[in-house]
Amino acid sequence: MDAISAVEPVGNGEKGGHSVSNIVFRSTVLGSIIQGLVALLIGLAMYTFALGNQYITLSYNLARSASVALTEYTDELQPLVEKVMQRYHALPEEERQKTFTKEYRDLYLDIYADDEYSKIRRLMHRFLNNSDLFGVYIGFYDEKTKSLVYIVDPDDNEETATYPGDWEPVKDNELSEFINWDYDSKTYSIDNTEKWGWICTSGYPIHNAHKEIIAFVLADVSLNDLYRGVKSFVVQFSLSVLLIIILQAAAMVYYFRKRIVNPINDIAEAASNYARDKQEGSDVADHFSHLDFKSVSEMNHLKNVMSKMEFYISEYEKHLTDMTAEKERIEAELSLATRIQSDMLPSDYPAFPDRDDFDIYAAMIPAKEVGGDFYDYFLLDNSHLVMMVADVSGKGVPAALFMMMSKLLLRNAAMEGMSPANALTEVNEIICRNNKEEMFVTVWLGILDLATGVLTAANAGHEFPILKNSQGKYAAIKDKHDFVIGGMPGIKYRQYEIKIDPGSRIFLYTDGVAEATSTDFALFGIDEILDVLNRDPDVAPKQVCDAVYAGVEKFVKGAPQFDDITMMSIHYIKRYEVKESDMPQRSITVKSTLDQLEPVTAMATEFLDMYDCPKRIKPQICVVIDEIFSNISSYAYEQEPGDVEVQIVMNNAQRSVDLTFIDSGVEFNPLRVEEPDVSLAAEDRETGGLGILMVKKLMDGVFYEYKDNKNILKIRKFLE
Amino acid sequence: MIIEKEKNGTDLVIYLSGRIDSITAPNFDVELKSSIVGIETLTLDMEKLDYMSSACLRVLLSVQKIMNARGGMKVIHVNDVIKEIFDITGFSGILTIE
Repeated sequence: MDAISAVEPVGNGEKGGHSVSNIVFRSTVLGSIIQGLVALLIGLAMYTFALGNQYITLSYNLARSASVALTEYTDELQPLVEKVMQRYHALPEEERQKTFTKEYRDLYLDIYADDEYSKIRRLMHRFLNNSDLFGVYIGFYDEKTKSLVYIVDPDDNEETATYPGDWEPVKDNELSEFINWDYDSKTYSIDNTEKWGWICTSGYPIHNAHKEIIAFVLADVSLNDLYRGVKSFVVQFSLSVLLIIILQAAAMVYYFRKRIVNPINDIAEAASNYARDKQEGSDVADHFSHLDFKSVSEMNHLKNVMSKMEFYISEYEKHLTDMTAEKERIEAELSLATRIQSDMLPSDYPAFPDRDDFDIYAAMIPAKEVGGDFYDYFLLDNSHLVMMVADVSGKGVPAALFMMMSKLLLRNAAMEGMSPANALTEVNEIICRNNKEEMFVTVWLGILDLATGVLTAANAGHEFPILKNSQGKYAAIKDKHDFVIGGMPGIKYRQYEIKIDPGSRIFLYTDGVAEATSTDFALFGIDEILDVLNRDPDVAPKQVCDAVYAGVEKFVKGAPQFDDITMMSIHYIKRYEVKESDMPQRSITVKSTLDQLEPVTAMATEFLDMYDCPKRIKPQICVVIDEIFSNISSYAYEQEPGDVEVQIVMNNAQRSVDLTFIDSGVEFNPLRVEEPDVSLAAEDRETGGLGILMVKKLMDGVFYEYKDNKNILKIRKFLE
Repeated sequence: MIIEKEKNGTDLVIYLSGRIDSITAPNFDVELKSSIVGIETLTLDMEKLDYMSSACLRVLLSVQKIMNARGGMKVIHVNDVIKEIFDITGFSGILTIE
């Protein structure tokens, strides 16, 4: 949910950057302005060109018709022109510079008075009055001084009128255009003059009878109207274009808002609601499908995609929730399994606080949550310590399940008093019966007789045990290996015996120790284990295990542990003094009737079978039980039958069986019964006393005592 | 205790199996004594007999006395345990053991 809270809700006022309407408006305006400008320029050029041409034609036509009219006056005009030009050329340069001044004009005063001048001026005047011309006059282009010399000007306005001899400099190109006039093109010039503003001047030559150009008629047209026309055109055009642009942009904006911006905002709002609902944990599942943008296919598509996305996200969330719950459940179960598994391994220390004759410590460090290694130890009786270390193939839950089964079976077999070899053989048969997964377990199973120091052990494919005698160093026992448990049915496991002296130590482990691998793939190995063990050989079992584990940790240099590590260390401190109560025993109390002989015999034979009683001795003990019990049943209780307690005790230390009969009947010491003479012939023999005789002879010791009103008869038989 | 008999005229062979103890001895006594009526020679085959108690010995002694007056009695296929019992009790000197 943290990821969703990172999404900022997008309100209408919080849009970053420019809005789409804004962009549409701006781009429309900008584009239209560029278009409008181009249109304006083109329009302006065309307008100006057309109007300008009209003005040029106007002035040109005027100049020509004036020229035609003047053709009849060439006889008067030619001498006038020559007279003015003679006077002009006669003047020095500095005098000519005074043109347009009164002083300069006075130099030509006499020419004004000529009839020719007046006649021509009158004619010109008529032209001027009959047209819209700004001015029409006769001039002479003087090539020598590059100037236009005015000859006749009909203008009455003193301000603007020119007089004969007045002149103006002429640009080279204008001069050559007029002088080299080709009769075909219109000759004109456009200038912005100080006096009259923009004017267009067209000229037309005046020829004499010899077709010689004697002067030019020049017609001026003011372009100021044109200029004003252009100005108003630009203003009107621009204003109307601008108005159109604004209207168009507004329409575009309106359209875009309706069709694109609003749908986007709707989707944004729906998405924002969706994010908020997700954040608040609301389960509203439908945020997009109500939107309707059918008119814009892309928007509709976007809406459909969003709607689908919402559906898939919600499906995924459901799936994710289920998966998370499932994962949590598995984790919880796995941790419970880990606890159950570790609870199965004895782990309270000191393990046997009331025992000072031996010390034991074991530890299992699983590589995963649950492991396949296990160990177990328990006292079969006060003088027999059962120890086992095992490693199930594989890891994780399967190995753990197999480990549970193997451990229970092995423990049960050992507790039933089976020898290590018999226990392994039995467990192997049971496991092989239902082992479709073909798992197996390596086991080292040993029983240490704490009274004698005899270690009886069997090895089902497990690592070598390590032994240290009281005076020696730790060394591996290269014991006989049989096949792994679960590997193949029908295997007869073998066992071996080693007698160890008090002070000896045993170290057992799994391949998690022997095959611990460092980051550079070196194996810890048995030599390394022995090194660690022999470095400090006389510490307590816990310190032994800690030291080996520390050795492994140091060796692997932080490489991940890939197999369970199991260690067991036993210190056999001293021999155990066996007390009678420690010995394996059974007892039964029955009525003193002869039919109770059967359960007593059954109890004894069953017990003897458990302790590998030699074949010959068992029937002897049965005979003895028969004799004693029948004796008691016949003589102990005179009136009613009473209780008889029969005990049988196995003294493993001296390999003897002790039988005890206790009854509360009449005091009677069977040992005092006179023995029959066994050398007599049949006819002379008596039948009494034979039973007691047999008991004495078959057994190795018979003791009687009468104590607390009880007859106690104890019989001992050595088994070897 | 199981008893099987094989009679051949006045010769009788009895095959004993199981055990003859204080409980079964009285039956054995009755069975045996009824079987030897008119029998001259008696053979007891003890091959399958596990062990016997003194009660059985008393039956054997009693029958031995009867058979001494006739053609005789012998005991065959005696195992170690029973042989030891016969030795201890001096029965080895009384019975004919083969």
